[in-house]
Amino acid sequence: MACSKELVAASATPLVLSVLAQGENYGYAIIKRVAELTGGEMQWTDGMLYPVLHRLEKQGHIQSEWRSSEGGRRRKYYRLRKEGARQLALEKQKWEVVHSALTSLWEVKPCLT
Amino acid sequence: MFDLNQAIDNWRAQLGRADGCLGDDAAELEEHLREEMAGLAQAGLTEEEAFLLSARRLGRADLLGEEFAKVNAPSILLGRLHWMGAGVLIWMASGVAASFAGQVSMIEGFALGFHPHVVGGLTVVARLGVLVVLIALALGILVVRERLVPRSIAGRYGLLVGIVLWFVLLLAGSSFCPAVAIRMCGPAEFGQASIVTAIGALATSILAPILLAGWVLITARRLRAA
Repeated sequence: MACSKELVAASATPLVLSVLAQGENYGYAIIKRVAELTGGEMQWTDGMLYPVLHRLEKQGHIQSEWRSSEGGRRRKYYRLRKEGARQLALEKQKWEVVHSALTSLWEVKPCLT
Repeated sequence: MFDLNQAIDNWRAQLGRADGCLGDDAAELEEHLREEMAGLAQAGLTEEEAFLLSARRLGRADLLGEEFAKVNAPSILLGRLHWMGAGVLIWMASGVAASFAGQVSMIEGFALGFHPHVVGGLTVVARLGVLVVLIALALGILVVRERLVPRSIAGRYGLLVGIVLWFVLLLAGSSFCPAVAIRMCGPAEFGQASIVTAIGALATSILAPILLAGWVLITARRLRAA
């Protein structure tokens, strides 16, 4: 089972914002974290999450900064901004609606009598 | 023998051809690629295997370019508008430069004591020559521009060059040179030479659009065939 491209695209924003809500991070680590959380079920290549990060930055939800790591590697770190935290709260509400609707439907046992 | 730097250069060139990546987008993806490779190398893969697998995990360059293009759409549009403006200005400046060359050759022709008709012919040749050279140069710059200057600033740079060229040549070609020429030869000869120049200019104005349209049609057909 692999999530469709549309579902991945829709869930990318709350996923990335939620990972960044746990603390600032750089692209590679964010993507690995998302892959780990979804158990590799996302039908998307690693690179596709960078445009998502850049769009969130353009929208003012996150901000980025190039820094050098101890290994001499240059990394672009992303950090959640206040607007991003607000957006995440909104996303949470939306996804909880979907989640609770589906859960309540799936928990009802069909009555066959 | 696998050359990692060469492979990464090729990979970045592929990303560069996909139109959507701007600024440090490619650098960020390269960092990702190198980090992924380091992890795979630790797991025992060779450099080549690690590169191939990492590049594949990152995704196809054209698909990545498409996604980046959606995010970078405003900047890409602005860059194209700059290039359009630069193109129009450079085209107009080429016309002015050609006329400037014509005026200079007229001064030279009179200074060397040529017959006014010969001087007129000389100006036509000079105009055409400069026009052809400048257009060829502009096309050449268009082809290599991405290697000369970063894509994000290229349009602005072109626009600025166009504006400067336009003003300098306009001032020199249409006010300074005719004044010098008419002082050197007298109004009658200047008139005779100007008639030949005008006929040449008329022929150019009729022929240039026909040639341009022909070139566009041939290029379009060739592109469709490819």
